[in-house]
Amino acid sequence: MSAHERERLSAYLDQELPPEERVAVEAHVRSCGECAAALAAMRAIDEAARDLPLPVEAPAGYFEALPSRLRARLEAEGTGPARVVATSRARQPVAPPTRLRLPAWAWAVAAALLLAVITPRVLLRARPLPISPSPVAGAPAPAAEALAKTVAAPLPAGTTAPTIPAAEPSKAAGGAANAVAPGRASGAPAKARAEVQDLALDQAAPRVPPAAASGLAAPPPVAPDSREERAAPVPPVQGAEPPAAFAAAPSEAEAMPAADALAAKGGAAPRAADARARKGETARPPVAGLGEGVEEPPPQAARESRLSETKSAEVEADRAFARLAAARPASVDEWRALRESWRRFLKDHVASPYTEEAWLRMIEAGFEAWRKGGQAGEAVTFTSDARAYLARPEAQQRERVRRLLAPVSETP
Amino acid sequence: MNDQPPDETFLLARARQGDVSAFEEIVRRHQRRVYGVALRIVRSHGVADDVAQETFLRAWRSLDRFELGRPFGPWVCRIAANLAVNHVRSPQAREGPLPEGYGETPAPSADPLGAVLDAEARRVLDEAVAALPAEQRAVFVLRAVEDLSYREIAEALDLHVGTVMSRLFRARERLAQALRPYLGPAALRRGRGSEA
Repeated sequence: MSAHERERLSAYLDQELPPEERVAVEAHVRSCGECAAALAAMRAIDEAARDLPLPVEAPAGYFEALPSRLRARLEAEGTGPARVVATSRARQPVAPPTRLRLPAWAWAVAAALLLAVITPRVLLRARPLPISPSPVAGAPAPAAEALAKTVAAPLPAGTTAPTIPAAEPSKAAGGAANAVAPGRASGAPAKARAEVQDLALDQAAPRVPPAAASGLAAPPPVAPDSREERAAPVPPVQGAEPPAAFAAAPSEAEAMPAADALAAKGGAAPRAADARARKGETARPPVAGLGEGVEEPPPQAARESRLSETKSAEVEADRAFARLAAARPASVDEWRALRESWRRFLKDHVASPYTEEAWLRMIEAGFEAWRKGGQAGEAVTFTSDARAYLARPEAQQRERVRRLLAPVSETP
Repeated sequence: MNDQPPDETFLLARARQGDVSAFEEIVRRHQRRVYGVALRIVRSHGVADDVAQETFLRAWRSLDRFELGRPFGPWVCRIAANLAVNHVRSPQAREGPLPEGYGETPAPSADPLGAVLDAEARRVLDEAVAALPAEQRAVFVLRAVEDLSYREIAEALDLHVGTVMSRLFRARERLAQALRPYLGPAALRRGRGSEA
């Protein structure tokens, strides 16, 4: 058997021969024991090679650290992949962000209040949210980065991230507090807030336990509704005492008992919270993704009915968001369709905590539709959408959207 | 729905628009494969680490040219393979003469190998792969382990398809010779059986 013939056998094994040659080789192998043996040997070697372990083991922790090492290099270089310069804060890809930013002490007070009110229920209920992570929101690392860049390394629990800077107390406090209980602060009596302000400022940062970071690292895409006792799908951390209302999904069965608990204990909450704050018991793990809309809480008597009214709409928004976030468009038409689906989402869920995220996704889908080679109309629609977003007072990613606008605007 | 992983297309779209966090998640998903390709070619953790990092940096810079919707894994593996081969390119790493006995078909041994190569044979195979010239090893790894087509390998390593075919054949010849004592009838029967 010549080298040429064996080379053909090799290519035959890889199914790389043209059809006519393949047929000829097949016929030959059937009648030639030598070639059949050579072919079988090649196949056996390939299979064995495929099963070979790596020549050496990567050092322990290597794969946990590599993503953040690369991130540090990318940020140090400061160059983006496309025409957009990357910045770590260019985007908050995770949970819908807060609309109103309050000082850290306010969130700490809110945490104390919630702790006092809800702690008795903590160990009784804990269930996940009935919704999947959004494409990016579900990613642990991006979540950690987006919410609190310096709080913790965006790595699985128990791992280290050497390239991520150590947590800065002030930022950690702010990040943690932001995630704790937005929406509750305004519900705290002014007196209580004033009394615990200094204390909370002192305690908020250092008292955020390591578990808090891991809580931040996996925020729920769905988050967040501070108006009600919405749940975050952060599993209960031993010793961290996540309040029941945060650990429980706002399901049909759970929403009402949660409201009941609040109604029954609401009167005692401020005092209890105050007492706890004085004792330095404000620390609870921040629960990411609870940062939507700070409002005056309704009277206790109205809470139950309000919860009932809004519950179904929220569940529907959760589902719709998850459904759209899972879309995998590939063509211009599909990106265009997704853009319009996000537009409908925004129309159908006006007060949704996903509003900001849905705006961005609609704009991005429009950008991709244009980028994939869409007609001039795509550029017009994208530009119109982007400008509408920029005109929104509550828009939080203006710079990012402006950068998306630039290449489209430059194209004739 | 809770188990649904983040969508890679969206991650890539965001990474392409400058979202480092999204790209970090992409790295997390593909790092083992990229590192594995590099390590199998360069055979050293230190170099493989360099290659893996450089691979992702280049991927990041080249995302603009990546077509969303296509599989990212093979694309980034081709970058890794190209860099790995460049790392190990040296006079020693270039193709040497064909091994002694070139042109001979490995003679089936009477030694029964069983359904798979045993541990000793795997050790020998590993050594034989390590002893391949780096350019042959790269082609062999990309084909046998990563299952890339000849055309993909050619693109990754900037070769003609014919060169890929030739190098792959030579690599197999060398490996077959090294494993000659272990390629018993059982292994060959197995090879024939899986052909069907």
